[in-house]
Amino acid sequence: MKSLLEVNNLNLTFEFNSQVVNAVKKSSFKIKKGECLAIVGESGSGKSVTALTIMRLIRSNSNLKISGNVIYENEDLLKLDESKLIKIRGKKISMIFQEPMTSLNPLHNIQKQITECFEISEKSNKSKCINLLKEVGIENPEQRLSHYPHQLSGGQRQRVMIAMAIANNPDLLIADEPTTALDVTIQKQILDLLDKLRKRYNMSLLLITHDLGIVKDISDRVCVMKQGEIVEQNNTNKVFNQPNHSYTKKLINSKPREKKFQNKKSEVILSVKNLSVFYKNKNSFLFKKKDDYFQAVKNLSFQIIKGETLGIVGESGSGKSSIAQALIKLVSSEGSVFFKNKNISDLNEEKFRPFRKNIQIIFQDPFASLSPRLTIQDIISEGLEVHYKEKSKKEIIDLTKQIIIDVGLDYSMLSRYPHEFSGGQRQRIAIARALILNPELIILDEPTSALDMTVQSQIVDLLLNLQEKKNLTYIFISHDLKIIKALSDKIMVMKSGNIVEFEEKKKIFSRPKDQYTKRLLNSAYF
Amino acid sequence: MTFSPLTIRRLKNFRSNKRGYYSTLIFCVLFFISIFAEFIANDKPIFVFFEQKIHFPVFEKISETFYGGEFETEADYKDPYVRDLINKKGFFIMPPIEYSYDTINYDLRVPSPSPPTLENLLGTDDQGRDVLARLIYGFRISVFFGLTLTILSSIIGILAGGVQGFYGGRIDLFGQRFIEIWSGLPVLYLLIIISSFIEPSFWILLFIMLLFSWMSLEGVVRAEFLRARNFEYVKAAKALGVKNMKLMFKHVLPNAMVATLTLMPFILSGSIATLTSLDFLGFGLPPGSPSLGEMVSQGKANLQAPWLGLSAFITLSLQLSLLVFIGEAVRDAFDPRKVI
Repeated sequence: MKSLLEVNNLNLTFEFNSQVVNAVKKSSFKIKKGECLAIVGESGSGKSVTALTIMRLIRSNSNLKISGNVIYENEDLLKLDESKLIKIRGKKISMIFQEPMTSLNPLHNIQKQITECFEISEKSNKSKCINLLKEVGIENPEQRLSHYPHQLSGGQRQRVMIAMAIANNPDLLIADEPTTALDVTIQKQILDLLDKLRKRYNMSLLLITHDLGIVKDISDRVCVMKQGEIVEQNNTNKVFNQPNHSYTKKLINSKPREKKFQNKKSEVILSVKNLSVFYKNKNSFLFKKKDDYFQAVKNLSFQIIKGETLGIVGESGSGKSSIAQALIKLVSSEGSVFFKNKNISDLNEEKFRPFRKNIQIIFQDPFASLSPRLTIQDIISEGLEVHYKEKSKKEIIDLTKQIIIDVGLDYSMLSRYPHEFSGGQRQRIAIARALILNPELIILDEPTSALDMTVQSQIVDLLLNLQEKKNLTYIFISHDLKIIKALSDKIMVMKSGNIVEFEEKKKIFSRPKDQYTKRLLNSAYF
Repeated sequence: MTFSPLTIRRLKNFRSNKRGYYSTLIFCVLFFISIFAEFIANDKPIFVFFEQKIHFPVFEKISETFYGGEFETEADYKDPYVRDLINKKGFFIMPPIEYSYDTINYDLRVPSPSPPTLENLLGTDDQGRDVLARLIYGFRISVFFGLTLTILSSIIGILAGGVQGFYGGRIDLFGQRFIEIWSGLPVLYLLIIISSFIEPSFWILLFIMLLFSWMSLEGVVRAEFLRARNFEYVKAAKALGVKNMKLMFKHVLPNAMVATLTLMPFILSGSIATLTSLDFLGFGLPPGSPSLGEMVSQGKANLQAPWLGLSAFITLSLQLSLLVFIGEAVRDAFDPRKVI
């Protein structure tokens, strides 16, 4: 079969701070009509740049050099002028982006956004709009037309993006990490939708993702990219069953190690009774409205045993993070929390401070959780300066050196700044910052969701090692069942502020009781 | 003295901005010269050796009778009679420019304002005072004024903005309303009214302008604090048990620093420009004091004497541009993402 799009020897270099970066190295691939090609690679491997180059969305300037060609319908897209390009973009080749929150214009309603890509004659074609929305599985499409992006959920927005992309029956749809920002259950739905549309319209799909798991079912062929180079290109089955390149093998086997050891003692470290978290809906200054609260966490009670890991799973908005922040008093809450049989929920900040060194938190985004203006040394040793004021400077430096080796980094990195580190290294630094206080309980709020697959399993490894070595207790919050499965002893499934199911790990995975748990398990890619 | 790696990095960044770096050098030289204005442009000698003793007339008042003259008043060293008296029993060294900012040259051959001559390099103003001497003193006073005002208003602005932004809620609400009202007051009219019943000295002017100039920074700092207080690293520090005060200064403020530093050169040049315009209007520093604004107004009144307007214009524009260039370099230096 003739190929629809051919990329030959695509090479892209740009200059950044007087350093030449070779973002794409002599890559070639073909997409046939109706085929789904997946490009898989870690962040920074040049996947997105490739897609943007095909669409010519990269503004060329003196610092940027593109060579090679992209052949579509016997023409080289890289050499077309802008007026011809417009006829192809959005009509023959369209694209959906990673972040549905920012890729829709917040000031236009849905109808306006969708009709924008119609031909002029069809600009006021409302029924076509509604059909498109139905096609992508949006309920009540008639009502939705007048809605604005902020009124839609992430999954719905991504559906609207897809509706816009398929409005002109494109030959090729480029999906750049279409599900990364979405919850697991929705991720599954969106991928199914893309697959369905591809088959119905005989459209080709170029799926770009870092998650090898999701391409297994949907794609025909897979390109594995590493540092701008396509290291392996083959049928999906072959790639998964007989990977050639060592990097592909590493990607496929990057499943995290599972927790094997178990703690014998059964001392309760944390017990929570009737915990509720409220958020004020409207902050009116003069008129106090009653009942204008949003209850994020609803009367939860649970216990954690020392040395165990409690995994909390749920979609975004289910109140997982609110629990975490309530436990360490970053948000105010009701109910009582007992840490080692001492009620800590009524303590004020001054009295709670000594407890802070026992309960630490690690946040989701390692890029946001380290102050960009402090050195790693300052970041890690900050807790010591609060809780161990009597320690001398030398002791503090020795301790930080010790801890940074514990988390698998080198102490020569101490004088550097966070921006000089990769996501995985930053997360290690964040772990070091929490660990240096010798906490007994660490709350991990989605610590791996901003990281690449291979890095994720390294972090999980590290967490398991540390737990074993220091007898730590974890509360591990995630929407990723794969990681939860690897780490936890008990799992708490949450939905809209309630506990849906709270069970031993084995029971949850083998015999889920609740409907919602079943759905979660079904949509997870293991 | 040892520097932390951070300081070294900042210095490197600063130096890599060539324009800012050279501006700093030039400005430092100019400012250094103007600090010692008394030894450069003065109608008194730097050094008098009289009757085997050393005197510094810049620091002490020496009456004419001391040198053997007739008047009890301070000796007029420009007077040939006094010069002769000193030369009889010693010697003296005059500064390179033999005029202070308020010395009137009575020996002009043409009516003042007189054009540049070898005696008065940039000519004299309409009262026969040396323009170059007045420029040197005027430069010094306006830089002092600008720097003091900028530093003081930055301190107040950062504190107020920081407290408002960090605590938010009611403090922020009342603070904002107060600022809205306060910024509605017409500063220039207020200054004009005040200067009509008290003679505004350097410090009074500074105080009045300080009352209003802190607000320009306050808004930016408040916004940065509002944004940063919800950052994860601030939360992480809070979870470590760091106290509010330390949180504000260690975690939030450094990140508000770029915004602050971006604005600072403009506050600095703005306050110099305000002082100049007040002087220009005649509501600024007391009459007779060396001020660039007053010279601009003289230039306007004496268009036939272009050396007045031109010297004032060149000095002012040089001063303001240098300050803005330095400000840009400082901002670059504090930018953590800047790669050299």
